[in-house]
Amino acid sequence: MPQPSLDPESVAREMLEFNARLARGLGTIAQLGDVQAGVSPRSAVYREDKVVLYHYEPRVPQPLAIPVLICYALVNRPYMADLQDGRSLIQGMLKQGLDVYLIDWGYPDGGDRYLTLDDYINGYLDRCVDVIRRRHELAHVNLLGICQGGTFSLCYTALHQDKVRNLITTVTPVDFHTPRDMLSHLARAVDADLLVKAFGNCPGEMLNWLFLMLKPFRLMGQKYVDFVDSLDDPEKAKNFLRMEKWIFDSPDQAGAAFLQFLRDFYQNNGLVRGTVEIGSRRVDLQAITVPVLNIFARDDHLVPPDASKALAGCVSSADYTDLEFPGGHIGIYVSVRAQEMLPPAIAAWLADRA
Amino acid sequence: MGSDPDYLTDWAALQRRYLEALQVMGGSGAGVATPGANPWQDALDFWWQRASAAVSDEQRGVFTDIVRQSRSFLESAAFFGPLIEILSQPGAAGSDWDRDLRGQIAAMQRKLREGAVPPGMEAILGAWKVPDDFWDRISALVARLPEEGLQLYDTTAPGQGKRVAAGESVREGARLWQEYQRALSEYLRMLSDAARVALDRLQHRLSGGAKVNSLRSLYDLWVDCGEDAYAEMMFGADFARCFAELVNALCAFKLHTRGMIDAGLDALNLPTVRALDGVYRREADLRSELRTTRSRQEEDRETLLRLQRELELLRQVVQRKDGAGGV
Repeated sequence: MPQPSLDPESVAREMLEFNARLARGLGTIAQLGDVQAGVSPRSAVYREDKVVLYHYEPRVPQPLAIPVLICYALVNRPYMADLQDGRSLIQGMLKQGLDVYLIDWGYPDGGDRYLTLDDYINGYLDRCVDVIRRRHELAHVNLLGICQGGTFSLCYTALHQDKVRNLITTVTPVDFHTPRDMLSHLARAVDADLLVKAFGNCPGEMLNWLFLMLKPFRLMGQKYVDFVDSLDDPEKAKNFLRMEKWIFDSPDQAGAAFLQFLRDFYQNNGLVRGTVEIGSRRVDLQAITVPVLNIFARDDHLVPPDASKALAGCVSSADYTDLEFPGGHIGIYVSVRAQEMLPPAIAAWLADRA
Repeated sequence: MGSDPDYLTDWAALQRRYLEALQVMGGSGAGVATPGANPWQDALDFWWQRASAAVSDEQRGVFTDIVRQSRSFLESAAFFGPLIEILSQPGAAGSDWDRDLRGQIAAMQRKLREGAVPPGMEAILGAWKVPDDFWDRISALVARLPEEGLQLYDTTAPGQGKRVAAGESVREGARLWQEYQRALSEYLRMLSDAARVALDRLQHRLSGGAKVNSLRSLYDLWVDCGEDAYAEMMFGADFARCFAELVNALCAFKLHTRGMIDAGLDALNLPTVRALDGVYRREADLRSELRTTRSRQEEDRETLLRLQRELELLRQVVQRKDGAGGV
């Protein structure tokens, strides 16, 4: 059997080359200037506390009559959906003739420590939906949830179905106790009450550690070493920096809402068990009868496909569609393949149900 | 080259130091290098200290991460140095080579037991770690508070003064600190075990003929083995329990020390976290009341508009009737 060959001198040369690339890379980085994210023109149409509802400028003269409201997660920032030219779900949706709104939850601080899921879902989200309904003189909106925002959208639709025409969920956790769900596995025995008592709001940095911990060798090490290879290319360097900025732009989580999400969803798996209560009302997914498009990512390590696919058995919709994206949790929004696949699929699905 | 910025010319000088360092390394023979003793890393750190001024604050943060992980990559050359020697044996094959490989992997595993940090694991080892002197500082703070500054240590037990209650708080803090340290040690032990399993996997892959023709390919193979071993450990019940114990111990300790810091703030007549939390709660209640009021106001407005419309219709009916009566 041939054995691998490697010699100390070639290793030394390799290290020298690596170091030289790193040094040149600093020159590349220094010339880039500050990296901006968010490309599509938009205007704020509603503000409440730290929440802002944005309306994106339509790209076609006659967009689809019922607008799409994107409900983002509380974790990280929503510019992921509009990261850069050519890598933007929102840009793609606008090009496909959709009228798009987005909720930005902002950065909670100490004063938001007692915000509950009731405040977020029956409060902010509902009022944003009402604003859009009034602006367009419509009874319903189309709702698109991203990750945790998808879970919020499910709860909202179950409680306010009369205001939702069609529901789209993307990489959305539904069953929080599937076998390959690392995040849930780790969170199961954490004392949620104690954590919120100790920290008030859950620090975004702590959540970030948790996400990075799922693949520590790759996400905390190899990724950066790989990047040194791309440092000579300003465009690639810029893309990397933009992504890094997003990854580490982690708002703190409002304490009461975080406690409820961790305990009722992650630990008790209440969404599929039907035990979650938002405000004083129980969330019953079986109550959902509107058309549902459920998009999940095949290689998602944060929300495993099974955690999303469980939705099929939970809702009563006669019109239910699963769509698998061949990529990961982030790639589903920013990869080139995603731009080719998702906006057309979403637009066609909505057009058929206009 | 005269137009090159300083950080590039500095670098050229450092490359020469690397070559000198290489000669030292080449002569060091077998044995696993001690982490941190690698002159390549020292030179990189030295260079970065000087060069970091060339970029903006935002970029400096990202590049610091890149430098840190590049350092880790360079460290891998030291960590895997003896292994590289084995892999470089010309025409290596057969039982002798396998025996040498196993022996070297076993030596590296011993080093891990003794506390060596394998490449790629530095960051995760540091997560959840509170500075070593944290408890000393907090307990010193309470010890220096005057008796009259111990308002938050009020006690209902007869015969117990505030100083006694404060002493008990310090003892409880010490107990929670020890509990946290125990949980942290267990967590680090499990990570170290995962690294040893990763080395077993590396040996298996190398013996199986995995192609390794550069430090980078060896590093990538190590990352694959590390992720596999780590994921396997993570899905086990033991690690989930260990992780939860660590987080819970950290939270319990933090919560307790926050109370102690509150005592210090209170002694200085400064706002405490407890008081601030009361303000936050009141703010939440007020927001809720405000929303309810707005919602009622909106409902009232809609009712008023509806009544106005009805009134207008009734007026029109009355006018029509009046008109008809007048004929």
